[in-house]
Parts: sequence; structure tokens; C-alpha cells
Amino acid sequence: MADRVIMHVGAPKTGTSFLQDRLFHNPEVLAAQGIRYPVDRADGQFLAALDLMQLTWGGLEKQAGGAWDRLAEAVRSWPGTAIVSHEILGYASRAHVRRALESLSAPGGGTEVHVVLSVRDLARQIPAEWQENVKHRRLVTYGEFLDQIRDPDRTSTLASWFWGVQEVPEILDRWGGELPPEQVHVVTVPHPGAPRDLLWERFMGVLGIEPTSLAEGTDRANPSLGVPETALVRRLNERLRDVVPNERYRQFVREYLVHQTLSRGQTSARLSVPPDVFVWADELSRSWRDHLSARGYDVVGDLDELVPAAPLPWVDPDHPDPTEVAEVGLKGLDAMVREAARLRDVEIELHEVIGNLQEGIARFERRPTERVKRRLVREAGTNPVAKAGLGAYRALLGKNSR
Amino acid sequence: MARRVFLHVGAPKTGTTFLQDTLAANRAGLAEAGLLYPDTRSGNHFQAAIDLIEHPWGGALDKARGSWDHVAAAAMRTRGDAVVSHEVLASASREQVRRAHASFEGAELHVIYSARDLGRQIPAEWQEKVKHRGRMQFGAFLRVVERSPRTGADEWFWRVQGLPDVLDRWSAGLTPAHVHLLTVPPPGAEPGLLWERFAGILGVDPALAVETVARSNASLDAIETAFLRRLNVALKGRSISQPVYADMVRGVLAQQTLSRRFKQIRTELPPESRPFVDEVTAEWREWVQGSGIDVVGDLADLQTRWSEGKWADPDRPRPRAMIEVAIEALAEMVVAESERRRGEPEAVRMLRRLRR
Amino acid sequence: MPATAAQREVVRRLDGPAPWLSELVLTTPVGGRGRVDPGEGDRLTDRDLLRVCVAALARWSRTSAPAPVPATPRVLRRPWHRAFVVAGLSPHAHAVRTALAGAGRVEGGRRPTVLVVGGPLDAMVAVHWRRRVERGAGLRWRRLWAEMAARGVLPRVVDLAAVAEEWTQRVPSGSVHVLFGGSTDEVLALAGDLVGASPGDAEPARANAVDTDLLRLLNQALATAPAASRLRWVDGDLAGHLHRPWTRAPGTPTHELEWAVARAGTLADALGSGPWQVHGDVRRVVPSTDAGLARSVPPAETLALALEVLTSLEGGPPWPTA
Repeated sequence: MADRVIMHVGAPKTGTSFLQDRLFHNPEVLAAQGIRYPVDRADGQFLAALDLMQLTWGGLEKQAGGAWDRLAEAVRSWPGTAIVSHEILGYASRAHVRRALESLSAPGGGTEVHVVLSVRDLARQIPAEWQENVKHRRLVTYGEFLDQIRDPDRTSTLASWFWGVQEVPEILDRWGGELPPEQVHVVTVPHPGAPRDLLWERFMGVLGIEPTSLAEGTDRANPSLGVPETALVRRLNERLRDVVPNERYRQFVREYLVHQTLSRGQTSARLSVPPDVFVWADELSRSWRDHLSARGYDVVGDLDELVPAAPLPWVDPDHPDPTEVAEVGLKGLDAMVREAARLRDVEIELHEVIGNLQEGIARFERRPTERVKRRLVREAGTNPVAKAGLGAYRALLGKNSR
Repeated sequence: MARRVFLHVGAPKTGTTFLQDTLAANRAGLAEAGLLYPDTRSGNHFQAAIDLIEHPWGGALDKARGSWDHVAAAAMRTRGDAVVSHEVLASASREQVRRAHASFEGAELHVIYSARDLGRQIPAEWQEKVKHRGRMQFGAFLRVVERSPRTGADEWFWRVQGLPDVLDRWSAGLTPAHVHLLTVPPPGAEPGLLWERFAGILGVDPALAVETVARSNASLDAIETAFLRRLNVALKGRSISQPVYADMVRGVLAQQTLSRRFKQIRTELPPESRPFVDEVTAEWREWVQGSGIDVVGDLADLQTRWSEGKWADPDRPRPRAMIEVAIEALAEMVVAESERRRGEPEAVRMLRRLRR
Repeated sequence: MPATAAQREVVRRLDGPAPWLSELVLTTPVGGRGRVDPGEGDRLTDRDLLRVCVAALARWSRTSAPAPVPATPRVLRRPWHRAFVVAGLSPHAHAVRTALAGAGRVEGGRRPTVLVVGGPLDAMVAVHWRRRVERGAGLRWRRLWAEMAARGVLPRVVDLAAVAEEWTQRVPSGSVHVLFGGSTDEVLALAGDLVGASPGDAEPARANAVDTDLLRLLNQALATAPAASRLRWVDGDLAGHLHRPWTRAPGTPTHELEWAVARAGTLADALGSGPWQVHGDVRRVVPSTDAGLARSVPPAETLALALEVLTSLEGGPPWPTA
């Protein structure tokens, strides 16, 4: 049974992906320090969270059945410290929290539960959440988004989701309500301009991991989109509404267009908040800061970092400079055409391979060309046809080897 | 041996594809009426044409060797009339024209040249270049056209669009009555008029073309062309295969089916170039009248009707309109790529079977 | 674990539930999207309460045993009966199917007479929605219409002209009949004539929109459950509650109404000009534009149904009892 479980439950856009990536890629290093981050695949804990809260997520929920129980089992069977980390866990209701904590603890008690919440100031969280919405095919304009989250009744699904994962005092209360305050840790994200490693040191400190030990990772930076880029993607969402399945949208728009193309090398304006929203966010953040300091939670960093620093100049993404957006469009199309060409080449080669394989297993004397085989191996990660082709290739080689 | 042979030698961008498609679709009916449009593997006379003019055309020349003789022989074998048509024939040199004439020794040879007003031809040729990955701006193209010699031309545009020059080369040795200038009706004219005029020259009843052919709407407007040109610049040096490039162009063209699209903006010549065009047109009209050749249609069709209103510079397109084009093209590409991935489960199943 | 305000309110509205039912409602964590734990001071919306009901029903469903599926009696087709097939999803199509089955006629056979039985577009889509939900879909009524309008395409089985066209590839077009009767009796009489049978009692199409709405919410809540759980509702004990007949409401959502009317018009033209036999007025396919018609499923109605279903649950709690 785990003697310690650390629940890192949010918030989104506070460096959680980087952390989870490093935890995922360094299991032996963690084990040597008595720590386990139980996952069977990179998004395993995400699926577990979906399962716990019975959330639908664009079709991904179909893979989530039983994921929470498996996670809980893995945690219970690890004798040291187990880490559970996913930023949507903040959305859990009290009942979910109870279920989660009960399932992760040993039956007789004795498991020490810690809750960690990493937090960043609202003036940066708000634009970041809107961008997440846009990257997930939503059509809502920034203006509408701001209206909905400031609506006191929070009637829209968008607002209930936003506050569910961003309302810091509430989340800490739901997750940490029955824990002693020293087991509830608030990690604050430093204001812009702080040393780059500062946040990482804070995380490592609270998780009890040697800071430089997690060396392996995909180093996938997740830079935000600029104003014209976000505007373009939102317009594209309108055009693609209901027209392509989610899986394809993920592959082409989110992954290729956004992450690999538009997020790179941008000089465009960063998204901020309009002045009146800044005032409102500033006030709200101060009230959170005061509330949290009164609760006596363990603060890793400085609660003043919850209060926004001076805002970036306000550029409205709902009325962007058309010249900039047109440039972004060109850049995007340039990339898409090249990607389409690359995929077409892959396809042609794969068909060649399939053709060879079909043509005659008996006649398959000729050694496969290195280039084609290398291509198959490279593509097998993302292309199901390549993966199957590679399998078939290998099987045949096995059959034909003397 | 053929009685009459008609050589339709151009010009490009005058509805020649439409006329050729109509001939092809009604091959049988026309043959019965005594007009042969020789058939080829591709259905048109493109290979025969580049064989004759010995134009490399991106590697296609090798495969085209022998096509001209094949088509010419087919034309000569018929007992009635025959028509050979392809618009790149207009660029033939005098030597090549001699060879062409010789191929039809013994038959009554006619030359047909369809022409449209110069004010529309110049932008049309520019767009054609852009659709084939051209990167030249409209202004630059225009300057080249204005400065290049129009007779004995090396520059492609005048070589195929220069009316007196083309007809001078192609009509060597022919009587003026057998040289036909077919004028393309101006926009807004009756739809069947071009075909009627063409059929008239060939001596067939236009109503014989029972199979109608859609006019391909494949002309880009100013914004789309500008956008495509910018993209070509960005893609310079990348090896993008033709099918992928064509998909993307189709995506850009898909604009035209949207009703929410911005109003189409035709590419036009700037006001300062218009006197030049009017001058050249006047020159040509005089030449035609003096030459005694057969004019089918109306010389007034060759006069460009300049539009009123502010001129939109195709090299400085309005950003908002560009955004629309970009989004539409992006969306089309995403949809097209998604459709392509649909075949994947099938392929995977098949490969799995092969493993066993 | 203290119950939430929403859970307590649901128990109150259940009006004296059995203790185990009360406990089921009060202890089931509420999944899916919506406000997280609305507090004492917040006004509870129908959606908040509906989430609670759906969670409880889903939990009960995951562990309840499915009802045994009654064996369908094998009916032999008599060779002297005219072969026929009923195509289409409209409520009238369902009536014809069941009435003919009631008269001992079995669909199928060589070179059948094809009865393509139509109805208003919104009715056909309602039945189509029901079928998709029965197969596990979780989409809302409005969402289905938004998808169709965005693609500009009707589902194959709703596009009756395509259906009729396909049949004319397989049987002589004289054998394909498109029926658009005004009343059920009219259509039944017509079908009976064409098939040479005296129709029995017709069954209404079980495609009530509120039932379907509750079913789709259950599908969402059971999204991470094994597939069998999702389908239990269809054959299970609650057949009576969730298999009510189709009603006229809701109609096409307002946002898609213009598209729907235009598309139905195109469909009517295609139906009227095909090589098949047409009986009745094909323009009946155009959906109602009546301003008074409800065009969405109000959460209040789904909530009322959910409460009713909860009340009628038999078999006790889903956890082991002493």
C-alpha cells in the first residue's frame, strides 16, 4: 500500500503537461527515489480522470472504461509515494473526491494524502483557457467567452467548466476539505521575468524529487498562439463545424496546424485581457489571495503571484488586423500543403510495399530496400497502415529467412 | 483522302477546351455527318501539338514523339472533313508550320484561330501561369508584355496571342478565304454562340452536338490568384507533387461555390495600361480588315469593354478577402486529407491478413 | 458523505421514495458536465437536478441484470403471399410494418413489392434519432439537426428518394411504391391493397422525443461503462417508460428550419419525378413551420420523466443487501 499519495489536481496551463511528460519518461529514476507515477500510456491518467468523473471528451471516453480502477490499484500496490497528476481533476465534485481518496488509500488507513494545486494569475489564465477552447474546436468568440465566465449565475457549460478547473479556493476546499492544511500545497507560478527554472524547482520541491534527475522527456514546448493565429483557427473551426470527425481535427488542425506550425516562431501580439476585465480579475485574485492565506495551506512560492502583474497591451482577437491574419493563413496553408505532400509520398511508398507483399510471398526474394523499411519504422508510430505494413513485412521476413 | 482539314491552332484562353470537349463528346455523331475529330489515348490533341512544336513541356515531349504523324495520318484517312485542334499550335515556327502543311498535302487546308479581346487575355494568361506555380506578380507580367516585341516573338504571350503574327505564320501559302478568325462573344452573349460560330466554319449543323459539355468554371478571381501566387512563393523549392498541388488549387477554387464568399473581383488591367491595349487592338483590327481573311463573328468583339469603377490591384489584395480564401483552402485541405485517411482501416485489415 | 443540495431536492421531488432509492440518489456521485456542486445559496436548475437523476439511473443500470429478451417467434412466409418490403423510418412506415406483421405477413421474398412509406421530415428524423441513440449515441436533438445542416446531407435512410432509387436498381420500377398518406388508416388501407392483405393492428413508432432525450443522457453517463450497460435500457424493465409513441413535438429546431424546408422541397421534387409509383401528396414531407410548435426538448420534461422512471425502479438497490 502507498504510504503517500500526492494528488496534483490542476490548474490547467500551469506547466502541468511538462511535468507529466517528465514524470512519464523517467520511471526508473523515480522508482529509485521511492516514487511512482502510475500510467500505462502517456494519457493514462487523463483517461482515469475522465472515468472518475464520467466525462465525455470528443470520443476519447470510449477508451476510459475502468481506467480509474486500474490507476487506484497501481497506487495501492506501490509501497512508497505515488503521484497522480492531471489538471482536469480540479473539476471533481466532493463525491468524486471522496471516491477517489477512498480508492487510493489502503483499506485500514495509513496512507497520507497530499493535494497539490499549481496556480497562475487570472489575467494569464483567462486568455489561455479561451485558446484551449479554440484548439478544441469551439467557436466562441473572446468577447462571448469573457461574458460567460463573468456571468454570476454561470449558466453556460463553458462557464461551469472554466470555474470548475480555475476557481482556486473552491478546488482546494473540495479536494483538501478533510485534510490538515499542511497537506494541502499551493504552488504559485512566478510572474513573467522570473528565472526559467524557478517553477520547476518549486514542483520538484513539493513532490520530493531531486530537481535535475528527470532528464528524459519529449521537450515538447507548448507555446501559446498569438492573437491573429487564434483568430484564424477560430474562423477555421466555424468552417469545419461538423464537417470532419474529431480524430482528424486533432491530427490536422490541433496537432499539425497549431502545434507544429502556428505555434512556432511567432512575432505576433500575445493575447491579454481588456482593461475592465483586468480590473475585475485583479479584484477577484486579491480576494483569493486573502482567503488562501487565512486557510494556512502550505504555500510553495508566493501568494502575491496570484495577483496579476501589469497586463500586456490589449489587442482584440475578435477584431484582428486582417493583414496579419491573412499572413497567418498563408503560413498555415503552406504548411498544410507540405504535410499533404509528405503524407502522399508515404502513401505511395506504402502502396508499393503492399503491392510487393501481395504480389507473391513466394516471389518475395528481394531484400526490402532499407529506405522503405526505415520509412515504415518512422511512420509506424502515427500511421496505422505503416504499423500494419511493418508487421506484415517482419512476418514475411521471418518466414523467408533461411 | 480527306476533303478538307481544319487546323484550329489557338488562341489559349478563348474557350478552346470547351470546343475540344464538345467535339470529343460528340465524336460519333459528327463522324456520321462527315467530320472526323481524330481520337487519341488522351482524347485530345495535346501530345500531337507538343510533338509538332517540339516543346519540352515538363518531360512530356518524349512520350509524345510520333503523335503528330499519327493524328495527321488519321485525319487524312477519312473521306470527309477532319479537324485538328490544340491551342499551343499557335506557337509553331514557320518551319514547323511547313511540316504541318505538308502533313495534309492534297487536302483543302483551313486554319482557324479563335481570338478574344486583349484586355481579358492578358490577365487570363497571368492566372494560367500562377495556377501552374508561377510566382510573377501581375505588374511585372504586364511590364514584360508591354515591352516584348509582338512580331517574331520569343515571349510566349505574344507568340500565341499576337493575332497578326500567328496568322502570318500559319497562313503561309493559304488563300485568305481559308483562314478563319473566330471571335469569342463578349460576356453576356448567348451561351451557345461560340459553338455555333465554330460549327459554322466546320460546316456542320451546331445541333449535332447533342452531348453538352459543362463550361469549366476554373477561372480564379483576383483575390484567389493573388493568394495562390503568394503561396507559390512560399512553396518555392519544395517538391510538392502535382496531385497535392492540384488538390490545394481546387480548395482555393472551392470559394466559388460558396454564397457567403466575397463578391468576385475580376483581374483587370490598370487604367494606365488601357491605352496600350486599345492601340494594339486597333492595329490588329486594321490588319484583319486589310488581310481579307474570313471573320466569323464580329471584329467589335475584340474591343475590350473596360469596366467603370475603382481598379483593384491584384498585387495588393484586400486582406479580409485573402483571409476568406485562406480559410476556405485550409478547410478544404483538412477535409480532403480526412477523406484520404478513410481508406486506412481497409488497408490495415488487408495487411493483417497478409501476415498470416 | 453529506448529500448535495441538488441530490436532496431530487429526493424531495420523488415524494416518499423507498429508503434504498433515497440512498441511491443521495450517494451517487454526479458525472458529466454542469455546475460542480451548486451550493445552498444557488438556485437549482432543472439541469442540475437532471444530472442527479441520470447519475442515479446510470449507476443502477450498470449493476442491474438485463431483462431476458423474449424469443421472437419464427414466422414462416407463405409462398402464396405477395413478397413485399417496407422501407423508410417514418411513423407511418412503422405502422405499416407492424400491421402487416400482425396480419401474418413476413417481409422479404424474391422481387418484392417495395413500399417506401414517408412522412414529414421532422418525424422521420425523430425516428432516426431514436435509432442512433438506441445504438449508443449521446447527441442532442438540436445537435443532430446542426450536423445534418452543416453537411447539407440527409441520412441515407431518411432520404427516401435515394432509397426508392436504390430499389429501382433491384426490382422493376413498377413495383416500387412511394406512399404519403394523410392518416394512418389511409396508409394502411393503401398498403394492404398493394400487398393483398387485410392489415392487422398497427403499432405506433416508439420514438418519443423526451424518452430519447433521457436515453441519450444515460448513454453519456454510461460512456465509460461497458457497452452492454448502455443497451440494457432498450430491452430492460423500463420498456414501458421509455418506449412511448412518437409525438409531433419537437419539430425542426428554429436555426435549421429554413434549411430543412428547402431540403424537404428538393426531396419532394425528387420523389414526385421518379420512375416509381407515387400515392398521396409527397409535399407532406415538408416539416411543419407552425410557430406554436415546440422545437426542442425542454429539460423540465426530461426531468419529469427521469423522476418517474426512478420512482418505478424495481428490484431494489444495485448494491448487495443483507
